[in-house]
Amino acid sequence: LLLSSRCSLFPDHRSLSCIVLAAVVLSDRVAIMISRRLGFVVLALTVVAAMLPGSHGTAHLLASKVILNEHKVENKDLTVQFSIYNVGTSTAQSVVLQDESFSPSEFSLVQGLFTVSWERIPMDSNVTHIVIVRPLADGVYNVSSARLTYTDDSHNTYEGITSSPGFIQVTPYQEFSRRHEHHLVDWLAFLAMSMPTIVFPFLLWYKSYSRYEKLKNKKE
Amino acid sequence: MMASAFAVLVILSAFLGAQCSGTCNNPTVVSHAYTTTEPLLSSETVFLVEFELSCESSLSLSALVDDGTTLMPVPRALGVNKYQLSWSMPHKSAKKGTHSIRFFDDEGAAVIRKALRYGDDPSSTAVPLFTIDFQHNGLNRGIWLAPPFIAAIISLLVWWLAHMTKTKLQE
Repeated sequence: LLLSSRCSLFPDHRSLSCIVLAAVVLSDRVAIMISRRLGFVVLALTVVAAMLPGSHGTAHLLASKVILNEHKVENKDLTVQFSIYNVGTSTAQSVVLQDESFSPSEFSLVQGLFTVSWERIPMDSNVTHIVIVRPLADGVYNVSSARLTYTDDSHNTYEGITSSPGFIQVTPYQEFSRRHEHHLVDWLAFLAMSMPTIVFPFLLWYKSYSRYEKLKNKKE
Repeated sequence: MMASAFAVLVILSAFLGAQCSGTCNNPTVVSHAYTTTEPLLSSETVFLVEFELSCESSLSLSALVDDGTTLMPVPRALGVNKYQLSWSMPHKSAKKGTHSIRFFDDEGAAVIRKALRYGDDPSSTAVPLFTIDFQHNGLNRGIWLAPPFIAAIISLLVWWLAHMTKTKLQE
């Protein structure tokens, strides 16, 4: 109102206030025209976008690394299981799991790949990856985490680590076999060695017994 | 000049098309399987199938094991056409014998997912790209009767026979 009054009192087209007033009125009129049409379009787009799954969510991966062995034994298989869960609200893309915790000087790889990638892990789903290694010597080892990288729909890259099993005790093979092997050969050897003390007295007795039985039968 | 340029363009687009289409016809598969055999060395039976594909393009694969209802994505090594599928289950659920894994590409996986959602039999819907069979020999549970037990039984038997003979003699 102030601007319009100033402009009408001083009808100089080049004055700043007149220019500003004209611009405001024009933009206002244009905005009203456009807004009615655009309003519907914007509303429609918002509704559609809200219905699209994961279009405004983020992926969130939780990963665990677990050793499934009850007994960890020198030169025997060690089963390592990785589980990755997507607890986010959108699909995780280009998921790369990289494990460098088993150095080749201490562990030999029996089966499995240390570095793998999944193209996508949908939300509310999980994947498993297993690697079999073999400790080359007994002792205490510190098994650390594996690294995880992934991106989501908004092309943000995330990096994380899995849980780590920590310190593991690898028992020497001799100690494990003493407790858990069947030792059949040892028992057969024991049987062979104990036979003389039983068999010889038995043979002596049987010799005299059979002779006595024969005499008894002859008498009858 | 134009014709040759056009021919080159056609060949190039066909090549690119093959790369981008992500299909593989008659791939050769070299595979190696591992299953748990010692119950003390793993609290669950694990299955690992590592294989190498001879495809021009690297595919995104999904797998279905036997008559399972879970379509598993198959992770891939970086840079090479090597894949490794692995899963675990309790010892009791792991069946001995030959198991078959069917591998599907993205199209086949979509068909399978639809079939599983509507409760149809997935084996009749999509044709797998290839199949890998492997053998699970079961767990090595060791000797049925422990040798110390057998030794104790034998020694008891020997003692009993001797005792019976001695009492018979003393009568």
